[in-house]
Amino acid sequence: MSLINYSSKEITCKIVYYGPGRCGKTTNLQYIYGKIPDAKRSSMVSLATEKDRTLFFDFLPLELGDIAGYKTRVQLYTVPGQVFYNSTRKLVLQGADGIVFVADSQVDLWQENTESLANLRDNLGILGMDISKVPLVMQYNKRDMPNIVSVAELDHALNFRKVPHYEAVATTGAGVFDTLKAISALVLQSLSAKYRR
Amino acid sequence: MTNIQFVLSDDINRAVEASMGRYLKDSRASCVLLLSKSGHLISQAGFTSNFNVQSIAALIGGIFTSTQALAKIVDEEKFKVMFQEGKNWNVYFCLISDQFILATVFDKSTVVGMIRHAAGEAEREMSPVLARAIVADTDQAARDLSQEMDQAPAPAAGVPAPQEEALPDFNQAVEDALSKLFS
Ligand SMILES: Nc1nc2c(ncn2[C@@H]2O[C@H](COP(=O)(O)OP(=O)(O)O)[C@@H](O)[C@H]2O)c(=O)[nH]1
Ligand SMILES: [Mg+2]
Repeated sequence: MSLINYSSKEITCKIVYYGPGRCGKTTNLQYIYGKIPDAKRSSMVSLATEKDRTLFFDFLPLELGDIAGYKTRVQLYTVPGQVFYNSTRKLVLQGADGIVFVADSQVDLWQENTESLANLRDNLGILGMDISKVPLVMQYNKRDMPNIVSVAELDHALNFRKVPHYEAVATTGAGVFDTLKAISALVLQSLSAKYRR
Repeated sequence: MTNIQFVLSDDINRAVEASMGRYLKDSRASCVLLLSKSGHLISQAGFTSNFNVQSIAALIGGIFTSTQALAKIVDEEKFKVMFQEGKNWNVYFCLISDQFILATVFDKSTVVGMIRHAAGEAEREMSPVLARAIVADTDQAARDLSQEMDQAPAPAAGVPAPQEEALPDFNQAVEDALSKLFS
């Protein structure tokens, strides 16, 4: 759900990192947050349990500055991945302008990935959104782990729309910015297509 | 896709700001935030410079939507009002037009009855104005627009919308903006 203010020339849009529990969504935001120079840093909000698991969401606002004449603000959210937090996931997903699906590349997590993608489709449906239309990119994370599925196989199983996909190691930041760039551009493109003025 | 978006024009902005200013004065609150349920800040009035309002808005959106989920579970249609009381500061939340949240931060210099009364007034004023900011079913709007522009047929269901590959012009802009932000 974007907010477009024609009078103050501001656009705010919401990007949600989705995926199974422990796949690296929070790590993506933490890496991005860590790279913001001190002077420009505001705050990252994390609602987590004592075990560091995201309880409600993580929230990181980014001020991109002027893009095509609009002061552009991108707000990054993560959802809690654990199955039993589905009601919370729906709340966070509400109003998303774009989605990054983060998959865990490890062989053992194959089923978690496909279940999470099916859950994304269901939740979007409940919210009246269509997974075949929403701006989406895929991130195949944890490429540094020893026992991983090939990118081709992941892509075949998960990337049914053939959207851009990125390999990542969120802990070192590899692929993190490429993912962020791609989804931001897709979201702004789709907004501009809708609201040309 | 029926996904609500908000578009604020000059006149909507002016009307909302005027109402917010009046509400702040009538309620004698310290600051007032108007946001969407999804956590986007729409307007603010009063003393907010010490707070990170973007984060506050995201958190309030979360609090409020989870409260609505709770309402459903106990078979209430919705909780319209919420009140949080602290030692020095209190926060009064109320839902406006089902899509917006008015959050009011106040201290001992006013009382919750006064806030409640003034908030009712503010809601009556702002509801019709805010209703004009809601743009629903944007895909239909986008299809209308693209048909107007080049008579392109609407994409069939299941086929990715052409916008995903067609307009690469934002890549460079985003790239530039990000490298500026992170340097
Ligand atoms: N080896 C490795 N570990 C990762 C990677 N990304 C995240 N992790 C670790 O995986 C665990 C779960 O990450 P987290 O970001 O909390 O997952 P979330 O549940 O999706 O938010 C943490 O211990 C991270 O340090 C990665 O690319 N490689
Ligand atoms: Mg997390």
